[in-house]
Amino acid sequence: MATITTTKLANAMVVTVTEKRLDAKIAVSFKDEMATLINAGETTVILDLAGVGFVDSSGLGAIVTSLKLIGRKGDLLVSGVKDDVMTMFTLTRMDRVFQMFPTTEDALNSLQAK
Amino acid sequence: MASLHLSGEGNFTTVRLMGMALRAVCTSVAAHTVAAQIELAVVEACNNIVEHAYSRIQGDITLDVEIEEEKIVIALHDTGETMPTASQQSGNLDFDPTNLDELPEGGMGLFLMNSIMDERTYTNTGGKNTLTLTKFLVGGSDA
Repeated sequence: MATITTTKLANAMVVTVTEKRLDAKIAVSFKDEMATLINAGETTVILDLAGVGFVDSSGLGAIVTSLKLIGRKGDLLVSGVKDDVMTMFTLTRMDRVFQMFPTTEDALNSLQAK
Repeated sequence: MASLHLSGEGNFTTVRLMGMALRAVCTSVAAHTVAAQIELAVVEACNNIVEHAYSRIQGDITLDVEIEEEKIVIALHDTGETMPTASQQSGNLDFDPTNLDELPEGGMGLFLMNSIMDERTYTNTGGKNTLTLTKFLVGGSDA
């Protein structure tokens, strides 16, 4: 079962996580789906976590893997992170690694401003 | 004092259900944000059990929660392989956020447990591993 849905926009691929929990149960599937997208050439990705209420280190690790796969070829922006999930990013200091935005719209605006 | 006992097969489906149940229970005495963090710490501990203790053999995870006015004590039991002492003592998460190639993709579990919980002990007695995690509560559910 797919863990994400995608919306192709002019300058980015918006990836929405459809599972409420990005945890060890689905981290491998999520990572594989992201890798398929990135390897197909989608290197500017906005990852929308607005529907996600829980992320463990497996889920966060899968997001980091995606960022590394994109590397310097593009951008991985994260949007819609809820407070409980933000705690995971701040505790691990990953909030300093990712470009994070309140909404996908804000993330898109930041890309357009570049 | 209230207590809760949960047990299930050592897999990620069980971990997910235990996490959700634990958060709900903790919300009764702790602030929502604290309950969410306790869930994270315990899910990390349970993931370690599935990934390491039960990597080669199957078994159950048992979760005992004791809720007191001033603390929540969670004991996790498994009958799998005992974690090496060295792996129980580490838990650092040092990395340069600007160095993409060196960003950690795993190994964050122990760091998160240590960051969130106030006490952590790990024992092996008679083939049973027990990880005990304690969170002291300050100011009750509105803290």
